[in-house]
Amino acid sequence: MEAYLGIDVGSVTTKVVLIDRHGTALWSSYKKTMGQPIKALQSAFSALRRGMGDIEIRGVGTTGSGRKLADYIVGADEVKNEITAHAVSAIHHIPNVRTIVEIGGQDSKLILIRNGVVVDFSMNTVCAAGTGSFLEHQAARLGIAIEELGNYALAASSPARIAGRCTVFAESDMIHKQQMGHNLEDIVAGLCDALVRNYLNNLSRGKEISDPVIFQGGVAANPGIKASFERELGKEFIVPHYYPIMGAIGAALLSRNTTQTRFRGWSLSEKQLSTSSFYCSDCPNACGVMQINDCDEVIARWGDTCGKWGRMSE
Amino acid sequence: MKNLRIGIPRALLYYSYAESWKLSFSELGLDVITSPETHANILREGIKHAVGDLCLPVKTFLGHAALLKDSVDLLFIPRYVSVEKESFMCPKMIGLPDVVRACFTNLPGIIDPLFHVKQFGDNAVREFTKPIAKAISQHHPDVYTLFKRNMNTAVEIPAEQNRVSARLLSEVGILSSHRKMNIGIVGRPYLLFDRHLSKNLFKYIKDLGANPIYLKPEEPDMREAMAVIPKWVYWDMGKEVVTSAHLFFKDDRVDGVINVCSSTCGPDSFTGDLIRKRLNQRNKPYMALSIDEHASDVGIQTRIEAFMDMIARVTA
Repeated sequence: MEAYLGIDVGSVTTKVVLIDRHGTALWSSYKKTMGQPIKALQSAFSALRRGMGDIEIRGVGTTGSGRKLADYIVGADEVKNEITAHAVSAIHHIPNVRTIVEIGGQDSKLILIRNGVVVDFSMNTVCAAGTGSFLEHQAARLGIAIEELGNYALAASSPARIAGRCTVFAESDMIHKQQMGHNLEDIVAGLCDALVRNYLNNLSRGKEISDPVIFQGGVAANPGIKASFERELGKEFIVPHYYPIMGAIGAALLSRNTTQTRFRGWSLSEKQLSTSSFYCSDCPNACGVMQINDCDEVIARWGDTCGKWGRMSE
Repeated sequence: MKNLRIGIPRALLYYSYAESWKLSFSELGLDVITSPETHANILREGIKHAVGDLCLPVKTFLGHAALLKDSVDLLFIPRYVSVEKESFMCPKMIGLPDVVRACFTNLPGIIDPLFHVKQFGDNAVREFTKPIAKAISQHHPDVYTLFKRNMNTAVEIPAEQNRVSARLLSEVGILSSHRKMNIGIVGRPYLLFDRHLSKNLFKYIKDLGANPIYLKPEEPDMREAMAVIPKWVYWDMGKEVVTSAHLFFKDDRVDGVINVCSSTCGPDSFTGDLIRKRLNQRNKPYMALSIDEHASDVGIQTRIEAFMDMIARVTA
């Protein structure tokens, strides 16, 4: 069977998807990266092989903040930024989409689309206050499984007011509200409202959010956040079936133009790959240089501003 | 006798006026010592000495001052208040000499002459050079003459950055010769041309196959741009930023505009809004790219790549 591989290495999760020529997802995986993107990819690859048998890969697309890393070890035909990948995927699934709200583990995006073309976007990367990591941390602190968080929020009668500008302030605010006697449901709902407010403050200033709005990324799993958005904006938020892997699907869709793939083959999952790093001391910039090793051989290096180390491994 | 060594930090107004300062001081017989281009250690040192509320470019300045302070007799930190009748520098710039004094001990002498056109009008350079003459023990008329003569010396900009004048943009047609994607870059010189702070943005855009353009607007252009917006921009540099954006928006050969700003810059938050709401009437692809001390190269590269993808699809 012929198929296209899409890989989205995010800061918190690694997504791998296999699609056919028409863009239909044949197989997918969504796993925590646990700070070890190579391991995450290797285990996804073995699972894919077990689940799908022999497949002929015709094209590979990578995206996410680790897209270059994924390219180095897998061999990609298309290495694409997350904005474009998410947009391509959303347009493929819902052609008349006008707004994409995407919230992942450590960053969030707002993409405006008119007539099937991206016309504006914004993205936060510096502050993770409005993202999945923040929710997960707070869920853990409250002793609630992250999957359950949304249901608590939906059960609230009067959401507590919580500052969402900064995770540290939000946390002290939540502790204060607990001590005042607010119940867990109201606090969780307040937390969802705070995240939504933070998202809108950071990303949507001056941008027109118009229907249809698609809500994707890992946080779209949380019905409490969806409800907060809908309450705040008075608009329906559509959560597509493939919401957590939309970026990976986008990368795979983009790789369909490939004539001769650079895919390195399935042996990746058996290789002894490791990463290491060092600080270059040749100039005062002291760049942290990352390298991927296949046993004793360095197969890729990056992180240097001048490109000297990167070139040496080519 | 050994020459006096005067240190000029390579940050902030260095990127606008340093050539004239350097030229004048060397003609007066001083040894001019400038700090190197910003690198990671300079920035780290600046952040260490700064209070948190200062913006990234001021923190960078402190790093450069720290590097120079022990190897010079004098530090040159002019206090620019206004370079035109009705304009002002940002308060952090106006207070720069005081910020440096507050952040360090064991400083060499600081020359902090006042440049204030609003107050002194045509005598601004004369007033500016008085404390300089005193600090280096030379005759004021000589110092004044040199500074006056060198005032308009152009600042050297790293080679990979296309710097064109507004006249060139409209008359010579540098943009139309090859049909690469043309991206207009607006922003303050001290952010754009500090390659460490701007993450080598010009080169990155070039490597991706597009043509980044920076321009220096001229007086008539500024008057034209100011007439489009509801109120005169009285922030120095802010006016140039707004004017450049205006020129880029109205020129058909420019495919998109990136406004590079420091994330906590007060004046830029005003001008950024003006650009987005009032100047981009034709809805050209526009992106505000904010630079922060924590911003990784990847975050900026992702935005630039996505922006170029957007232009490619919009113009296709």
